[in-house]
Amino acid sequence: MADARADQQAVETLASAAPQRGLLQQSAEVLAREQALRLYGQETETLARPAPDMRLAHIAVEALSLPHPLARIMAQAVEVIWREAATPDILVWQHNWVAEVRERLEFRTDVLTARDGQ
Amino acid sequence: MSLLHIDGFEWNPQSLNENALPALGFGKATSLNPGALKIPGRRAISSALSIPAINGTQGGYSKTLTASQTHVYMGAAVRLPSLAGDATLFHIVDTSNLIRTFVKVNSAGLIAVDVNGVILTVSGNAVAAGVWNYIEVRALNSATVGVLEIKVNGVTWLTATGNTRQGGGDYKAFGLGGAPGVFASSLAVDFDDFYLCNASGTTNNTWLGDVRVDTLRPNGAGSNTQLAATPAGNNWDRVNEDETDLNDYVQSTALGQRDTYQYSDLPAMTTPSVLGVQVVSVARKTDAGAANIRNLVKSGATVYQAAAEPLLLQANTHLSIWEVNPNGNVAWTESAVNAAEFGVEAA
Repeated sequence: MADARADQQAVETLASAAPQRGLLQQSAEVLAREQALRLYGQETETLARPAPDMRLAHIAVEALSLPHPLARIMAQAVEVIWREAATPDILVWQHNWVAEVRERLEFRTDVLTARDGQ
Repeated sequence: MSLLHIDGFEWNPQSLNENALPALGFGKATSLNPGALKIPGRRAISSALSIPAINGTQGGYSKTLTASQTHVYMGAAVRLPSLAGDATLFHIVDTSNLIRTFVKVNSAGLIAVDVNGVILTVSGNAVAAGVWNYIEVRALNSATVGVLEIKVNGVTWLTATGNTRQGGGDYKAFGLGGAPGVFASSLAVDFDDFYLCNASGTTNNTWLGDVRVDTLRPNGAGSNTQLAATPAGNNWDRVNEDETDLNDYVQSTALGQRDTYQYSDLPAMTTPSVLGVQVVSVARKTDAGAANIRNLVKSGATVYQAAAEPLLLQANTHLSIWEVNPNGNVAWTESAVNAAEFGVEAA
């Protein structure tokens, strides 16, 4: 009896730590009443009992693993490495320095001319 | 076939894992500095990776390959926010994990190659701080005819020849920033559009030049919808987040089940040249025991499978590269990528 209580306590602990329990419950029902019972050393008749014991059986299957674990995919993406084959468009923001320099030179010429004229 | 790894850094290293700790890309890199950050990238609506100044031995972004290499090319867009000291841009580590090759930049912006602690050559040109340059490395591992060559924006800036092996083994690990396990006091460096390839095969076996790595995400159901969505809804909508959400997923209930999804189209480009496609899946198994997944491409009417990879109990990244379109083994085109479906299979 003490062992049974310990088993139940352990199973309930597992249940509280297993957020996926609900997902697996359906699979557990289909899979293995007998397997679950074997794991917990119970008799087949136990299954005839209503819901509380069925819950234990489901949790037992979950806790001790299904025949193979499930694959869970959280994210998927595709990375594409590529480039422009032709010459990419070119943008230019460069200041027109040449025009400014010419403007300054002309100003200096004017000044020099005025001086020469004096 | 020689494209070994690509990364566009459209993921957040600081996304949390099952233990509420930074996931650091769920293992996409073999080793990643825990202070790495997702930052705006070099193109509009893209992201990049910022590796902080390294004051310990955590290193930068490092990828250890299953197969060792003797002749590799790698490149990345690199930006130095400042030039207030020396920084490590690239690293290559040999099979002994003792002989390391570094590409460094000093406070004058000059680039140098360093093998086993010895500077071999320094560039005559300098990179400027605050701008993105596309920097590429060629490394030929040999005790006699080795080559270390650096290109910046497609122009060779330096070449060192001779003994690049220095008594070590073949190349094993490659990456950005400093190598893990080595004390490296450096500046923060930003990286984008990373590639690594070797000199083998007939495609992607030389300098790839200034490339971009764009990330596409699922945006619709494909031809296969066999996994179960949690929470209930469209399967594609459970795996398409910019940042991986561990509570939002698809799950198999039997081996062989497949999901393939439609994906968003590539952005417009005038004359695109597609060099390869990498399928990225973040997945785990639900319990101890054997479980695998394989990435899928559906191009035309056929689903093509990558090799099965074992799942871990923690979320982990699974990468599969298709350098060419498996439907005919021809170069990918923009339209073929846009028409293809990508997915996974429980194996």
